[in-house]
Amino acid sequence: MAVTLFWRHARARLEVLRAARPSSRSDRPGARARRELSHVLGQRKLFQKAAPGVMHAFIFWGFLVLLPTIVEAMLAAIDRRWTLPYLGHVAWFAFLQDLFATLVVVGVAIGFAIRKIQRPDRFRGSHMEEADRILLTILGIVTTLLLWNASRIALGIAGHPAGAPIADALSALFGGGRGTQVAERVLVWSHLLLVLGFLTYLPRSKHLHIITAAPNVYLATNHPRGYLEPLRIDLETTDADVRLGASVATDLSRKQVLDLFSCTECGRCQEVCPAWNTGKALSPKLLIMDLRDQVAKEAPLITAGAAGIVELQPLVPNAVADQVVWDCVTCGACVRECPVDIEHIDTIIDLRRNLVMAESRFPREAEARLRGVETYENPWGQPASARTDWTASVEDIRVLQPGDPPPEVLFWVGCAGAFDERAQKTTRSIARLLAAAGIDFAILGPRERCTGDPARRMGHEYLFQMLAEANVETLNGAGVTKVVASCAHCFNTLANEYPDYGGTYEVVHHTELLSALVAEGRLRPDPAGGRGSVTYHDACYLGRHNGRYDAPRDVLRAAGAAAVEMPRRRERSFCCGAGGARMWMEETEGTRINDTRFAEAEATGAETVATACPYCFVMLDDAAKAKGSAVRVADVATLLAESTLAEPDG
Amino acid sequence: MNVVVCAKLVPTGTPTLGPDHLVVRSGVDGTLDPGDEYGLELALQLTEQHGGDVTVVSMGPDEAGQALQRALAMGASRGVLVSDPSLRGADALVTARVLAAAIATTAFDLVVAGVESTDGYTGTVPVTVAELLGIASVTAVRRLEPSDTGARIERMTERGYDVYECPLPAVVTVTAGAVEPRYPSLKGIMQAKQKPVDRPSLQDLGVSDTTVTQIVTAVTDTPTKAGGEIVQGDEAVGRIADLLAEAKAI
Repeated sequence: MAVTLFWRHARARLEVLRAARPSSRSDRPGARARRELSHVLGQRKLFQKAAPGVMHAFIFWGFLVLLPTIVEAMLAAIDRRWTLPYLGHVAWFAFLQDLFATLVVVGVAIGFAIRKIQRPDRFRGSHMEEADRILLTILGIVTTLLLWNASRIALGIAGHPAGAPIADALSALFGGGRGTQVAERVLVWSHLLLVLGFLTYLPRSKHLHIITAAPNVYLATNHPRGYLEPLRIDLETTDADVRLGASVATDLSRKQVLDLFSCTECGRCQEVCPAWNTGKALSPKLLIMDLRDQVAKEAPLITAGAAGIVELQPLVPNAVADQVVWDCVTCGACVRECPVDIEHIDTIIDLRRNLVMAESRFPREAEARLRGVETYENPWGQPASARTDWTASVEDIRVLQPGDPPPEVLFWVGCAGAFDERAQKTTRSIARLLAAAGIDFAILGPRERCTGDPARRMGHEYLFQMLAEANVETLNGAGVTKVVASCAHCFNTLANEYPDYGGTYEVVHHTELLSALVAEGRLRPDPAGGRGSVTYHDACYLGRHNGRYDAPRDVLRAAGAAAVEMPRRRERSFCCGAGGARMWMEETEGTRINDTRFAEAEATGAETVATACPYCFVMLDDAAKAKGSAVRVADVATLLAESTLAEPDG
Repeated sequence: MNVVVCAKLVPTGTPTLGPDHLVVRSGVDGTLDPGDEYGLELALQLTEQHGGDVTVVSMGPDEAGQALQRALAMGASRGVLVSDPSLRGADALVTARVLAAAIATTAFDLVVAGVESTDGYTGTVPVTVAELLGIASVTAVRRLEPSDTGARIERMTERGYDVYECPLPAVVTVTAGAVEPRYPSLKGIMQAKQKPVDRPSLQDLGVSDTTVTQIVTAVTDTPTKAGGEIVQGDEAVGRIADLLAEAKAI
């Protein structure tokens, strides 16, 4: 009966999954299997937080070891002399049972200590009573198991008391007479009833993750985190009813729906979210929960095949408010923390795609930027001819003309690097350093276009696609093989996303190239130059999204900087506030993300905050100026130029 | 209320003059004149609130079809494009003749245009169209609402605005900033491809006189402003304050 009940609820969930858009997540099964081993069996992401990690690992490993015990209890429930073949008679299995049942008790105790004593803010908005109920049931399951084993030892049924010291000790509670015989029956049946009751409760609860987490981890993307799956749009052949992002529940992909069913409301994502931490409406956890609740509510409609007949409610604003969707900086901190590999960004971008491309509903202040990208192919709305303005004060910058032989390295300047007055300084530093190192490089000049990153992160996939195709055509036509990018967003798009559009190049970030040039001795900074104490701010799209942490730090060290680190650094860095096209939107709710990050940098006591992305540079420099701080904000390249070049400013 | 909106394709960058002293339009990226988007938005809002359709009328090279597509993507129902080699270099009068003839083929209650194009800036076409159609015109409009006698119109002046009661049909030009033009959705762009665009010939319209102004010469206006200083960088604010103080402005 329990199995039937379980199946009825589980099937409802399964059918919602089946109705979802198929996800193509079957590439590189080896990598997926390895992730399964490390994330699920090894609990690697759980251990990103120590105490909760231990708590979970004890319960999870205990659960694995105790699975055969359920069968053992079922057999013994029918006849107390029956037991498992092989396992039922051996001391080592009894020992494992005893040990892990006890560890689960410890795990539950830690769980309650966290929830009742420590009470971290990450649980705000989670279902606390449900969690208590689940923990108590788990506790009930293992205590009845321990006590049942103890009663069996007291009755002399279990032949291996030495293997189970805890149960052996507990067996002193039982006299061994008629009372113990009754107790043994009661215990084995209560154990089983708790297990079966739990089974029927599972599919309706957040604890469903014990079934969904493993497949969800398996289906996680194999790409670097900065990669977004393309949505191919062909205006000539697509009809006007085509799906443009996610509007209703059935627009979500299977992975996206499985994400919803995998969330345990642990709130690790919420704890690190720059939006939530600065008082915005967005919490990645609440986003997932709210989407899940709407999908669950509409499940009967979806599975009855009525989705086409009965109108499903749009996810925005019914499940989540518009503002929530626009608050995201796509920094990926949530995805990085999530123990079950929920991919929040992909879902948020899909919601944005629908709002922008189908509804034309987005923060108005971003419109001018979109129009700029559309008309002038850069968010600044500047004419293409102005892309080389920064070269006026730098000697001999080669602008690659059609038909020219390709350079060894193409310097992808980026729109910020070309048009933003402050970012131009970084661009000039890089160009002078490359020239000093004797690198054969060139720029595309007016033929360079926005990579499309801001359009894509805003949800305008079509605009991105047009820019990507045009840029790939230019790059391929010029025979470019190696690209150096100074903007972390350009870097990510060129390296990870352009291969989908036929553009495969060796893409390096300027900090990587500069670090290599220093290591090769082609750039010789004077370490005595004394750059003072410097704290480096990891750009999300360089660090967390692409794993580049060391090169910028190496460059700073070579430049003679005394490195001081911020509390939130490397894979746990805190966004500057500009990612996900937030650069183009106003930030009116709560405190400003860039101010929060700059305050953290300033608190290190460093004289300089070093950045490696023009967005971070502008955001943190704005924060410094707003505060009237004496702390300087500068790109890693500029600091290296000052230590290396006789005339760093030309 | 059926509204006709005049739309023009303008070059995306700074317009350049060819050897014939005409604006170079071939091989140049173009876009719907941003100044036309305000009139179109006003027209769309009117028809959304009071019913009726928006027709967009344009005269220009084949590429002007792009401007129409943009207008259709924003929500107009149909387009009319008059394109004829003899119209190359058409001046304001010829343009007005063609537009008036094209507009006359539709059933309309109101004609909306931008105050002036952002490449030619003559600002005379809409009122000429009104004259040719024999109807009233109001320029520099910031608001328009249907009223019992036609329309209640607010017209921008240097010191504020005047309110007019105007019989319909009429021609109005809409000022930049009067409304906020919508950003067309991709859905809109896709649907626009299905919308009808008529391409009447000059013969269809009964326009025979396309004699245009003869341009004898064109001179580039030399910048007359002297001095001036562009301040940049971290010291910009202080420098501006100093300059203003020097000029005894503050």
